Amino acid sequence: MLSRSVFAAVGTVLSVALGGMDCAGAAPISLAQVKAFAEAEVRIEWLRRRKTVDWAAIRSDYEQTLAIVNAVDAREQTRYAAELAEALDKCEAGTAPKVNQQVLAKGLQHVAVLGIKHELDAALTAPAPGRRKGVACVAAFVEGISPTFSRRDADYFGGKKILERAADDAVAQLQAAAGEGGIALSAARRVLEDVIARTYALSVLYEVSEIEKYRDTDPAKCAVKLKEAQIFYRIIGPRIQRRSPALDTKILAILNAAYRNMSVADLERLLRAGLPGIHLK
Amino acid sequence: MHLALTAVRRARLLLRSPFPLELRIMRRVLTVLGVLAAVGLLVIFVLRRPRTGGGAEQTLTPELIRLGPNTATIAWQSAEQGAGRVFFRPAGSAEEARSAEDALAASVRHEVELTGLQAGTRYSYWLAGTDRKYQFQTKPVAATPFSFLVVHGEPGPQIPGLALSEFAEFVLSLSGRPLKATPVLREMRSYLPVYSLRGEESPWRDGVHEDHTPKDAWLLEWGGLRLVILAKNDSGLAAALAAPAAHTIGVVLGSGAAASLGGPDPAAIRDDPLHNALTAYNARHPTRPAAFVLLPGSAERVATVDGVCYVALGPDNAAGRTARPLRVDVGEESVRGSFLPENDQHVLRAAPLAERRTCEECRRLADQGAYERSLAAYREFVRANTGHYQIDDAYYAIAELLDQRLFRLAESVAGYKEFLAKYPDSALAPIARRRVAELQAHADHDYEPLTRFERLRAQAASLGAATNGRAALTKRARGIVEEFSDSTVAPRALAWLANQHRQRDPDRAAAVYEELLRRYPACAPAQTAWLDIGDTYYAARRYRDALNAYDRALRRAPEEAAEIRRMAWRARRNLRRRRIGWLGWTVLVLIAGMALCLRPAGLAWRVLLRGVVVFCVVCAVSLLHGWLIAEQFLSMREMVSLCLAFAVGAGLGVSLSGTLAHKLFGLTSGAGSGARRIWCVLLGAGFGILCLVATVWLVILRVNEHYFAAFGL
Repeated sequence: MLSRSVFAAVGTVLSVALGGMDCAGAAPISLAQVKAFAEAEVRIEWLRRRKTVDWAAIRSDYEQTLAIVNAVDAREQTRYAAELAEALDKCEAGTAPKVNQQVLAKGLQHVAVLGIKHELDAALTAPAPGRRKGVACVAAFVEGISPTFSRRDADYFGGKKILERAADDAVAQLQAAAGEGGIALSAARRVLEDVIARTYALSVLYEVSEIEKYRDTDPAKCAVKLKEAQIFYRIIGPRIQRRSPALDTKILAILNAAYRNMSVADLERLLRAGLPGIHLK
Repeated sequence: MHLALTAVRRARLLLRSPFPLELRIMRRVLTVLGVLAAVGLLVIFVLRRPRTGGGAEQTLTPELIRLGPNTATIAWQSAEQGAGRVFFRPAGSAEEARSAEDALAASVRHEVELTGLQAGTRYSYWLAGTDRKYQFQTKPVAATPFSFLVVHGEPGPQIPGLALSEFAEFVLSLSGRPLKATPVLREMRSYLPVYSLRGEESPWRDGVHEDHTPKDAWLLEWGGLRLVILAKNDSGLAAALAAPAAHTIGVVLGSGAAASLGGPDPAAIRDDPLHNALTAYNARHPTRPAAFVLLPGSAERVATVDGVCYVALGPDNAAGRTARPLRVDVGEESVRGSFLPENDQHVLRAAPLAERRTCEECRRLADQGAYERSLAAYREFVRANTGHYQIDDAYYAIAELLDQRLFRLAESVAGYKEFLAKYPDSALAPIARRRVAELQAHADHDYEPLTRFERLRAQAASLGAATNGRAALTKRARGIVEEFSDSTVAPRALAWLANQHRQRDPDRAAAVYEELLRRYPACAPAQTAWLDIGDTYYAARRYRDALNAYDRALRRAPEEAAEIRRMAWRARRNLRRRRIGWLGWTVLVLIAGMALCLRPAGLAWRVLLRGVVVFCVVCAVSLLHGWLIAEQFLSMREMVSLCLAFAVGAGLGVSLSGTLAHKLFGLTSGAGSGARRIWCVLLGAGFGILCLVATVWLVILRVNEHYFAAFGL
């Protein structure tokens, strides 16, 4: 009996010790977690637009996104977990809720785009099952940011589903190329990245055009639009910055200027120069 | 016997009537089916779309054999003879795909030239009869930022993916091996050009035995960069440097030409004639330098000597590690090289005064509000760094400080003009030109009214949403208009004043807009003044006034007709909703009034009770339904209001409409013919539906008109 007790005690100690050890990094993200993230993202987007915002429900949905947000922070050295939590706290406390809502909503979109990039990077070097799983994750992330495609279609293309269809086609190409891998997958990846860059460049342009429209009548609205434009630009900024740091600096200067000095025509010119090959509108 | 007779009788019956008829019918049916099947097969056979390209199977992947700013040539080989066709359109667009065909006779080899393309644009293309899509990007015309990939040794399988994911516009191979011997590079040729030291080798052209003499020295011009490629020696360098170049020159050497550079070794480089030629060129052309040299080396190495950066790409090593490719990012002022996939970055051409050109200290002073000190710092910075350095940012910053912070507009115009004269091609030049045009358009009275107006706007912007202090600002704006009524700024100030009243006092805003129209009918803000008045009234829900204004706007600004008509349509729609709302009130009052007042007056207890029961049931059902589709509502309050409206409408409908119908048909005592009862029921149902619809309509109008859109109203 004594030996059994000793054996059990040793076994327990070992289990606890092993269980407590850091197993060299976070567990890989699962498709279920990505889908939960995308669903939570869409739900948050819907909840925050209601007249009476249920912050408790938004917080509960936000917690569904934490696995992905933390993974992105660990990989990309961002601070989204802290920023989004702070934005949520401020919204609940009534501190500039409209601006902080945008930090939350658009910040999650940036996290989704970073997630897409990571999954595509991994898929390029993975074997076929890994590629298919990666592409499935990408499709889920794209679903989460799909409201942005719809909105820009409404703003710039008269409601015709140009961007939505382009995104769907790009995901379909990725799925078709997942089995083959190689250059076909890289080409499909490039198609999706271009659609995302185009959508978010149009998003930046749209918010600045709203600032131009309301700068003399509604400065409070301009503050919200500016925050949106700045977070949207974070999504495409690295691509532009890599091509031309000077262009990136100039675009940031426009986005940090006073409202009355913003010009959407100048911004469009710089964005076109920074994203060559992409047919903006 | 009886049984036998019965059996015979039955047999006769069977033989006589059903069989022949059934057989005839069956025969007819089978005939018809057979004819239909034959027709169907014929239709499918005749109308089936023939496969273009001669119905040939495409066996080889296509190759981009020529690429220019406005044309591209795709080549491929098919298994069968036919005409080749390529479909293409700008990537990501919804345009109808265009197509181009072989100019040659039917063949297994196809070369299709795509024309009418836009420079620097990405296109998707696919071969007729196939599903697989490819992409390419046309050459840029102007100097635009771009990237390319340089590889050495045996390219690994990751290279094609890297080329696409790193946004390379072409690939350059430093290994001396022909491209046809490297399948990995061949695969990329469907998407982007691949060059070797000997030129643009094309496996497809080799296949058709097209004459391609390898070149020892050639030039590749791309987006403002000139690459001088010297395969064997530097004999072509002088000619390449003599011709004017855009903004940067890069030299690419083969192993023969690079031999004297020792690896590269700085000591060996300094004595090398190639290096001396480059530094002499740079001394004469500091703004268009020969910035870097790429060469194959025994190991990966970077060395900068006298401002020229030498980058050696290492070969595959004995341990089997493939050489790292180099991504080169080319901008107008700087060039950077990054070894992939680790992204080890090296500056191949530094932006002039990269560490000092933005003058961080000068900017920090401006950010802190010390504008005069910032201005002085920028001026000192410019004075200390004049000459061949590009410091356009500092010149622009000076003009902008004078303009936006210090409101010394005359000086700022001079500053912008100096900037434009010195740096006409700067990225900030279009912004500066626009600002100069704006300022000069309002230069009257020595910029005095414009200065005061710009200050006013800056202060209004700093107020944000706060209302304190706005009254003082609007008074100042009025002061500008009265004091400088003949200046070009006065109409802008008046329009700004009208904008300030829009949200709080639409009548006052409209009055100011009309004043603008009266006093300055030809100015730009006046052209859309009626549209602004319409929008002001629309926002205040005064749709009749809005429609009047839109009507006048249509006459005054026909170029905005589409927008005006859209707004007018919305105003009419909202007015229609209100009219229907009044109709709803009328219907409800009439039904209720008649139901209560017609004899016998009042409502029976039973009827009332029935109404209450219906209300409770419908309320419970609709609340449950509302809860299930709660996400369709903007708030819980709205959901409850609409569900209650539905229940109230149903309860009212049941009690009032039934009573009214009974009273109208005189069926209150219960006696009556069947037909009258039926009509009574139908009329009652009609009244009930009217009650329900009217109630729901009125509640939606009150709660949130947005829900009308769900019904297409």
